[in-house]
Amino acid sequence: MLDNLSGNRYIAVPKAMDKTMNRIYLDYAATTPVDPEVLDTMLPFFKDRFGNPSSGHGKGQEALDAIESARHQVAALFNAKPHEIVFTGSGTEADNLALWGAAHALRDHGNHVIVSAIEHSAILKSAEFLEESGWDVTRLSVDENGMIDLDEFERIIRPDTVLLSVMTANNEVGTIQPIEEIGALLWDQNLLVHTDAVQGVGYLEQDVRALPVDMISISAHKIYGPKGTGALFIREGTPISSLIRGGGQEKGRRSGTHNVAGIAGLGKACEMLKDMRQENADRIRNLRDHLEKELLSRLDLIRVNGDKNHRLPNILHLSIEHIDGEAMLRHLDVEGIAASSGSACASGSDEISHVLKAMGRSKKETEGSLRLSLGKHTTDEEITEAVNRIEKVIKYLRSLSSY
Amino acid sequence: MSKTRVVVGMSGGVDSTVAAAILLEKGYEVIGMTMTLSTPASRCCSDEDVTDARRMAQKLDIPHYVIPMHKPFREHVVDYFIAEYTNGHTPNPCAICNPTIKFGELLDKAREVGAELLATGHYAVVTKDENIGRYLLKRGKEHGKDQSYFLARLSQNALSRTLFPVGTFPKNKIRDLARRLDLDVSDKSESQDVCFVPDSGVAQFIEDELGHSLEPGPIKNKDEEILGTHQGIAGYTIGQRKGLGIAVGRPIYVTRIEAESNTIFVGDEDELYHNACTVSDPNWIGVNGLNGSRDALVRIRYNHRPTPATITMESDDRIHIHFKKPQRAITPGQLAVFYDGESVLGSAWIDTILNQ
Repeated sequence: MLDNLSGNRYIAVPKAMDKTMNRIYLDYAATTPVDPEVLDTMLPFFKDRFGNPSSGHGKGQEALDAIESARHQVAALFNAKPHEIVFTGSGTEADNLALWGAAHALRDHGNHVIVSAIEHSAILKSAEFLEESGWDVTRLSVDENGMIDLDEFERIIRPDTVLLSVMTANNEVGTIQPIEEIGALLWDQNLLVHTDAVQGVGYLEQDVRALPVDMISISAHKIYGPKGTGALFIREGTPISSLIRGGGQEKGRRSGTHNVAGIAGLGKACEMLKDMRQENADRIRNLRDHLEKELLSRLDLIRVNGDKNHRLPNILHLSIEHIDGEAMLRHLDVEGIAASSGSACASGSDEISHVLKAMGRSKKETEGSLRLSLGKHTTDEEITEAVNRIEKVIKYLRSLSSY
Repeated sequence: MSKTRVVVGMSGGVDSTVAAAILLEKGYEVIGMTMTLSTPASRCCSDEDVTDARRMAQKLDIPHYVIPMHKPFREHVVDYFIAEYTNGHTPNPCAICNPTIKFGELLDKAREVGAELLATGHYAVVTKDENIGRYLLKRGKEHGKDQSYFLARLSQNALSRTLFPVGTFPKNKIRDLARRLDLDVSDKSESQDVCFVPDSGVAQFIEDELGHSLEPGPIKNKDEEILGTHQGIAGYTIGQRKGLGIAVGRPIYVTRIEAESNTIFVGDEDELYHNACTVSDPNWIGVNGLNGSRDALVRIRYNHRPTPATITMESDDRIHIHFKKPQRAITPGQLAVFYDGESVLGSAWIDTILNQ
C-alpha cells in the first residue's frame, strides 16, 4: 500500500462508487432533467443566434422571434393570449411578481391579502414582506390532508381584500386544491386570484378561458426545461406593477435582457407537455400507486400524506415512524436513491415542514418524512428496485434505534 | 463480495483528503462527511471548510454529506469549556470533542449510512493486540506531529471502529501524496488555538456566551500580598507571563488559580515547578486498568515531551503521578496521557498539583 502510493509513478484518482449500481432518481418534484429536444432548441442561442432581442438589427430580431415563438407555445398550454405571458427568471420570481405587483397596483383599493398556509416559500415570504410593508395578510388553514376549506372564504374575505393566492398543487404532499371552485366563488368579487402552478402544471390542465383566475406561475425546470426560467400568466386587463425595473422588456412588466435560450427551452417544454401530459400522468400514476402499495405492505407504521382523491399523480409523501429523516435520505443516497424529505428548498434546516405543521402534524410525526416523486423517465424496473432498497434502509435504521 | 463501507470525516484539509484517497486505493467504499458547528467566528468547520471538503469529495468521486453538529457540540464541548474556565481550570476542548463529537456523534452518523468504520486525518495509529484483546492507540510515525494526545479519551468501542490512514506516513509523504493525487488542498495552518474561540480571545468569548462581564479580582503573590487586579479568572492559565499588568522588575508568572476566592496567584518561574499531581476519571486504552503502581511516560499537555513518572492508583477514580523530575506549569483541567513507549496506556484529567 505504502509502496503503491509512495512510488514515483502517476496515480490516477481512484473511484469510489460502484458505477455499475444503477442510481434511481425519485426527486422529479425538486427538478427534472432537460429533455434532449428542449436542449436542442436552446443550443443555437448560445452560439450563432446570440443576439439581444431588444436590438433592432437582424441578429436581435432573430432572438426576438425566438422569444415570441416561445410566448405562443407557453400561451397555448393555457389557451391564453401570447401577450398574457410574462417571462421571469424563475417560478419564485413569477410568484413575487404576482404578489408584489398586484398588491402594489391595487394599493389604493385595499391592503388585505390572503394566502394559504401551505404555499411555497416564494409566496409565504413575499406575503411576509407585504406584511412588514403595511399590508394585512391572512393565511388560509388546511385540513389534515392539506386541503383548504372553501367555506372559510366567506369568513375571511373583506371589502378591502385585493388578492388571494392558493397553489394549484402542493409541492410537498401533492394535494390538489379546488382552484376552479375558488375562482368561481370569487369571480364577481373585486379581487385578484393567483395560483402557483409550478408543481401542478406538469400533470393538470388549465384553460384560462374557462378557469376563473387572474394569474398563474410556472417554472421551466419542473417540466423538463432549463433552470433559471419561469413565466407568469397575467390575464389581460389585470393591474400589475413591475418588480424589476430597467430597460422595459416584457412591456415594462419585467426588465432585464431576456434569457433567450432559457425562454426558448421553456417554450419547447410547454409544447411537449401539451402533447404528452395526459399519457404521462396515467402511466406515472400507475407506477406511483404500485410503489405506494408495495411500501405499505412491506413496512409498518407508515402513513401516506396528502389528499387521497386529489393528489398529484407523481408524488408519494410518507411519514415513517421511528426514523430520522435526514439519516434515511443520506442512506438512501448511498444506496443509489435520490429522494427528498419534502422540499429541496428547506433541506438542511432543522425546522418542521410548514406544510405538515399546517396539516396538524407534530414534530415527532414529521421526523421521518420521505417524498418520492416520479417523472417521465421512471420505469417499472426502477420502482421494483426502489421498493427493495427503501425497505432495506428503513428496516436497517429501525434496527439501530432498537425499535 | 461487496466492499467495506467507511465514512471519512473530511475537513477540506490535506490530511483527511489523503486519508480518503488512501482508503479508496485500499478498496474501501468511501463516504465523506463534514461537520458544521456554526459557532461565532469559528475557525474550524466553517462554510469555507465545507466548500473545500465538498470539492475534494467531488474530485475523489465519493458521496459527501454535511452534518450539522452545533447542538451536540455546544452541549459537550462549549459548555464544558466555559464551566472549566469558570472553575479556574484550563480546559482541553479537542480532547473532549474527539470522544463525544467525532468518535461519538459522527460515528453514529456513519452507522446510519451503513458504515461500521469511521476514518479521520488524525495523525496517530490504531492496532489491535490479539493477545490481550484490546485496541491500542499509538503515536503517529513522526513524533513532532503526533496527535495521540488528543485521542486518549477514546473508548475501546470507538477505537475498534476507527481508522487513521495517514498516521503511519511521515508528514512530508502525505503532502507528496496529495500532490501526486493532484489534490490542490489549501495548505491550512495547523492552529494551536481553540477552533471556536474568535481572535478577541477566551475571556471575551466567555463573557459573550454568559451574557455578562466576568468578575474582577485580586492578583496575589504566595504571601497573599495583592499586586494587582485581574478582569476575571477565565482566560488566565498557569505559566502565563504576558498580560498580567504587573511590573515588579523581573518576569512573573501565573502559578495558581483559585476559583473559590476569585484569585490569581503569581510568582517567580521556579514556583511553576512541581513533581507530582493527582488526576481523575481515567480512560484506559492499552491496559484494562492499573493495580498498584507502575512506571510510565506522561504528557501533561499536547506540546509536552513524554516524561518519566510513576503512576499509582489512589482510589477507583484517582491516580497519583510522581514525576522523576519537577515539571513546569502542571495545569488543572489539562489531560495527563500515560504512555508505554509508543503506546497510550490511558489518560486522566489533572486536578490537584502537589509537591513531594
